[in-house]
Amino acid sequence: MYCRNCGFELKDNDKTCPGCGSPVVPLAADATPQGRVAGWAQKESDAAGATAEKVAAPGTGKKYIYVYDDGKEYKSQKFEEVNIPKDQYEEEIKSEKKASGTSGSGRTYSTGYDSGSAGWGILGCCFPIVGLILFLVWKDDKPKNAKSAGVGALMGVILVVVFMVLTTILGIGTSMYYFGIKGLTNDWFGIDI
Amino acid sequence: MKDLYQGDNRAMRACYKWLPIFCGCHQRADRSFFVKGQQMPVCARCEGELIGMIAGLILIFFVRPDFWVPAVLMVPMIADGLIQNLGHVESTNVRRLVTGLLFGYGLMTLIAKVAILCFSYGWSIGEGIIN
Repeated sequence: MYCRNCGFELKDNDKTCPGCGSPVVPLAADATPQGRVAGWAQKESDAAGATAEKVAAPGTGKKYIYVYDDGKEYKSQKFEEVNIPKDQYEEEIKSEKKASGTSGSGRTYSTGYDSGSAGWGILGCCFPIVGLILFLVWKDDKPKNAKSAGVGALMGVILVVVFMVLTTILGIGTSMYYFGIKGLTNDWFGIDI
Repeated sequence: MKDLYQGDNRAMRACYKWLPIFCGCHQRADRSFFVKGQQMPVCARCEGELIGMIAGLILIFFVRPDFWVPAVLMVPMIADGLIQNLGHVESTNVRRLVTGLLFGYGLMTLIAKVAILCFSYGWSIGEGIIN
């Protein structure tokens, strides 16, 4: 069986999914796929009446087809992965709905690629050059990821600069204090510290 | 929020609350260690990093490696994470702990060395002003 959340292939005694950590929910024989990965899943029926659901595995860009037939399920071939912008995809859905009254065209946009996740921000913070490059490369196709990486890079650089400036000022202050006290005690009391 | 610690010890409760936030840890059960059935507050990787950072903070008073040493020590964890995410080869908890240890030590040593450099520079400026 497969994880309902991310599509990872599970062993029979798995209680949590090794792919995403969500609990494993066994499928009842007559259950229909519902409410998963909202906004990504599409259902369509073929002539024989078996329902297939296309589910995108979040963050991986992988898609699977689960076919429920007599309560059995299996992973079918990957359907066509088409990378189109989200607006165009929504337009297509709308126009197909009007034309045929069904939803789903067998195409989906790989939102998994532009999750805008904080992970890219952290990577950008640790390696600002990488963050800058990712920002420039992704700013058109994957704006959310680009923003995350770019903000991370900026924050990383600012943090480092502020840290270095503050430490330097601390050094100046401490030494002025030390040498000031040293000078004063020498002048006033003739003591050398 | 998962409630991993059910006991009464207030210090432990504080640990379980703040350590994951500080580390940005996912607290995944399959990637954490268990002691007597109790899951650790942070995952194996974060545990390694924490121990490494504390070790770095202490050791910097005794050893001052060149800059390339801590930089190189940070690479294994990054490689482990990248291979796991992009290569889809699952790492192991021990590997996460060890690479995290090296990374934490390297990071803290880097930060400490930079701090020492900046502080010394500031010190010499202050000395020049007073004298």
